[in-house]
Formats: sequence, structure tokens, C-alpha cells
Amino acid sequence: MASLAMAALGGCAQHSYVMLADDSGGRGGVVLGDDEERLLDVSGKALAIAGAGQAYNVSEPQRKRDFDKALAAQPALPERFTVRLAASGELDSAAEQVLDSVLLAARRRDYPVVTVIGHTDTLGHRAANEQVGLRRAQSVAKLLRSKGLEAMELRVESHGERNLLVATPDATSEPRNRRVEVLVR
Amino acid sequence: MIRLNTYTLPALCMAGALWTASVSAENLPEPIGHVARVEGAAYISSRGHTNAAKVGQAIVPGVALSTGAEGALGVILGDGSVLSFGPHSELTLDDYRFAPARDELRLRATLNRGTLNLISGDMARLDPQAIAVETPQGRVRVRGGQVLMKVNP
Repeated sequence: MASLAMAALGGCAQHSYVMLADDSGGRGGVVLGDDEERLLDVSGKALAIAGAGQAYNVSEPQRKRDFDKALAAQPALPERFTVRLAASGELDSAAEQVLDSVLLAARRRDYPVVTVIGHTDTLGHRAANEQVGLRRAQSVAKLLRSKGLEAMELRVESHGERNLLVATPDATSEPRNRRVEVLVR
Repeated sequence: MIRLNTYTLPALCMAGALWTASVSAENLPEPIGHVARVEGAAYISSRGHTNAAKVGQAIVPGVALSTGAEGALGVILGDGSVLSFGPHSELTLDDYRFAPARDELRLRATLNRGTLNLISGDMARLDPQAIAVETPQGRVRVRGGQVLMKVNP
């Protein structure tokens, strides 16, 4: 009965809306409309998708009613690990430990998919850097296999110089950008 | 409807033939993600076939994900983006490209109904314009973070 009354009263709960649950430290947000005129950038606020209404607060009961089940179905979040490269291009001394953490993370999942992604800095040609990144990723993937990684799928990729950890101009040597990332999901 | 079916049937057979051909050529679309969680009635439709979703199942571009009355579903995509759905939901994954080295960053989906919890991954971090979800009421661009959507058809 109570929920019936609530449904009857909550006419505004029936419209389609979007809510920003987490602004990810100010980087997150939502834009509505073809001319990008309506912006939602405050955590906890919502906007009706249609029309030109203002942002509003979603009450905790409404948020629960609308999204509890979708949130409960959220899978374990992907985990990221970074293997750094020494000046020589070899894996650095901490790599061993990072790789062990990857193996553990994969073991915790029923159907782990592991993506090994090679990255470079912006020094050198873009196409060449894609190849360099790929070679870095392949060597880490090989190590993971030799350590006995068990995954439903092991993907080896390169983002070359297009996914920088530290933003730099082109043709810049930056050791922190030379790395191999492992995504366990 | 019946007329439509008569016309689509040969087309489907053709698609079937192509499918077989591409299997032998190992040309199947690359998986772009996988199912990580299933509760109750949850389905994946691809190339005109609908099956119960299974944990670990690969997702390819163009699939439709849906849930029934008590169903819920969670998937993880290649860039680390996470999508989960409550009951009575339906979303088609219209386009997904995550290849930063080639400057290809694009997630386009249509949420026809239901509830979606979207945690954006590397895709949005690399390009805040990359993710857009169409709804019957209009387009929602997700620049990053975690977003909840409720869509009534």
C-alpha cells in the first residue's frame, strides 16, 4: 500500500533522468542536449533527460528505489597495475612484485580477462612508438605466462605514445611515460 | 510484421552463411568486453539470436543486453568501463572502439528502457567526448565518473 501511494504521489519519479553518482575528482560529468547546453557536474545531482529543467537533488529513498538493483549488479571493479621500466628499458626491480600482484588479482576472479598494455613517451615517431609499446607489452605478457598466469583471455596491446601518464609535448623524453600497464577485469 | 519477416528471412540466411564463412576465416569480431555478473533473467542478443547471459561470456559490438522482471546484469568493457543494469532494462551497444594508438575512442549505446549504472574507464579519461548514450528522450554524453540513468520508454 505504501509503495502504491508513493508511486501515485511521485509523478516526477516517473520521468527519465540521469544522475552523477561520482564526479571522479572533478573530471566526471554529464552533458545533455545536442548543443551541449545542459551540464551536470556535481555529485549527487540529477537532470531530467528531456526538457530544459535545472539540476535537482535525488533523495536517498528515491535513489535506492531506482538504482539499488543496478548498483547491486556492479561487478568487481577492474584493477590496474603498472610495471615501470628502468633507463635501460629493462623492467625495474619492483616489477617482480607487481607481476605477483597481477597473478593474485587474476586468481580472485572467476573469469579473469587480463590486458597487457605497452606505453611509451613522445620521443620518436608515433608509429615506431606503437611498435615499441607492443614489444614492451609482449615481454611482460611472456613473464606473466612463465609465472603461470591463468586467465580466460590474455590480450596484448600497445597505446604507443597516445596514453601518457604525465602530459608532455611531442618529442619529449619522460621516463614515467615508459611503462607497461596490466588491467585485470 | 509477417511481411517484414518474409523479407528478412533470406537476409538472415545470408547472414548465417557469412557467419560460417567468417568463422573459418577467423574473422569474428573481436570481443570488446565480457559478462561479469548475472542475476536472474538476463539476456544477450547478437545477430538475431537471444540467449541467457552467462558469466564470462564475450561481448561483441552490436549486441543488445537486456534483463527481465527480476534480472540484473553486469559487464566490463576493454577500457575498464563497467556497466550494470537493474530489472526491465535494455541497451544496445551500437559502437565500441578503444584503440588509443589509432586515436579511436568511441562508445555509443542506446538505453531503450530500465536502469543503468555506468562507471567510465580509460575511454572517458582519454577523450571526454568518447561516451554517449542515446535514450528515447535524448542523448546523454558522459564525460567521466560514475553515472546512473533511469529511462522510461
